[in-house]
Formats: sequence, structure tokens, C-alpha cells
Amino acid sequence: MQLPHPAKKSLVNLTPLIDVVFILLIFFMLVSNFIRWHAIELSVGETGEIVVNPLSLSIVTINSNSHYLLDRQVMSLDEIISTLKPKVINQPDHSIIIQPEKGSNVQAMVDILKLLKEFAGDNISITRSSNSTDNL
Amino acid sequence: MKLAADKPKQDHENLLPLVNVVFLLLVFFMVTGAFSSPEPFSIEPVIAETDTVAEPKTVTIIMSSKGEFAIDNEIMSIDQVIYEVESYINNNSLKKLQLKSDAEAEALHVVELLERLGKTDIEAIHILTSAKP
Repeated sequence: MQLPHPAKKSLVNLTPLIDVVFILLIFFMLVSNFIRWHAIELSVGETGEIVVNPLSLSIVTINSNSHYLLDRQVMSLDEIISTLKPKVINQPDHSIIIQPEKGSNVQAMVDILKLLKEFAGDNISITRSSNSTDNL
Repeated sequence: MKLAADKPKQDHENLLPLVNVVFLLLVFFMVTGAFSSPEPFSIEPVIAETDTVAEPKTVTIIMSSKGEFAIDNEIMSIDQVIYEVESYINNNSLKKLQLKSDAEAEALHVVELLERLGKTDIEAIHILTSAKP
């Protein structure tokens, strides 16, 4: 008696598929960007002379060592925030000017800008200090 | 009595877990990754976490650590940047821009750019930052 042969498995050659998938994987690994960008909005107004009451104005200077000075006194970020926050709350039109000096970097400027934005909103301007009017 | 040895597994059967993992990785990168064109200079992003998320299709000015500027992968001077921005304003009534700056770049370069943009019709600029590295 002849027994029926077991059905032969139809085999698909996986090697080309694996090759293609590997190439796609490498492609996506190389071109994908996982940085999630956030943004800090800055109003860009007309440049020129600003006339403000000196009593309702604070100037934060960032020196070349990326240290912060509030009205010419060296302070930490926390001290600046704790000094300025009550002023802005009591006087909503209180203006804050950030003046980076030559040698200060963008990171230092954004650090203070982000903290000030939380309570001072659009009352913040960025200008160059009088001693950095020379060309970069 | 001599028992028959187990039939050795075929090669392709051993590859199946590998294929599964590679497929999962492929799907992961396809779904989560965002395509980005290579930038003309490498940028060390400014670190700050904010609530505002960058808009992907806005004109972005890139600034290197040396204060060089680029728009659409083309390195240009600040005068050319302003010229390009003005042409965008005229053609697309552009009101907002994005600035992707290197964290170590001179802050005064940003101030200079803001001063120049203040003379155009641009209303706001978004400084792009990245969350903790």
C-alpha cells in the first residue's frame, strides 16, 4: 500500500526580504530626527529709543562670563526672579530689558528669558548694552 | 534501540525572531522619527523646555556657533537673510519666523538679527529650544 506523501511546505526565501528590511531600517535610522523643538516667542517691534519711567524699568545684564547682573549687581537667576517677580506683579507695566554683553552666549540669554517670560510676558526687550555697540 | 535524531531546524526558521525584531525597529523608526534635511552646520541646541512647540513649516533661520546664518541650507550673510525675509514677507505675507541658534553662539548676534528684523514687517520670532538632552 502506498501512503500519501506529506504535503511539502512551500518555503519562501527570506534572505532578500531581510536585506531590504535592513536597508530600510538603516535608512530610517539615519534620516530620523528625534529632537522635539520647543519655542520661546519674542515680539519683534520697531527699533528705536524707548521712553520708560526709570522707576518701572529693570535691566538684566549678562556679562562675558555668562553671569547675571540686575541693575549692575551680580545675582543668581533665582535672586533675579525673586526680586523682579513682586515688582512685575505690583506694577504690571514694569519693563525688563535684557542686555547681553560681548562674550555672553545664547544659552545664558534664553535661560533668563524663559524664566522672565513666565511672569513678565511681553514686557521684556532685548537690546545691546551701551558698551557693546561696537561691531562683533 | 536506536532513536532517530531530531531533525535539525532549517536555517530560515532560526532567522524568524531576528526578522521580527528588525521589523519592529523599522516600524518604530518610521512612526516616531521625523524627516529632517541635513543642516549646513552642526547645531548644539539651546536647552529650555517650554509649553510652545515649534511649527514645522515656518521659515527657519539657522545660526551657527560662529554667527553664520543660513536659510534653507544656504549659508548667507545677515544682509542676505534680511533680503530673503523681506521677499518671504512680500510673497507669503510672513509674520513669524523661527531662529534655530547654537547654544554657544554669541548672544549679540541674536540681538543684531532682532534689530535688523525690527525694521521689517516681522511681528515675532520664535527661538527654538530643545528639552533636556
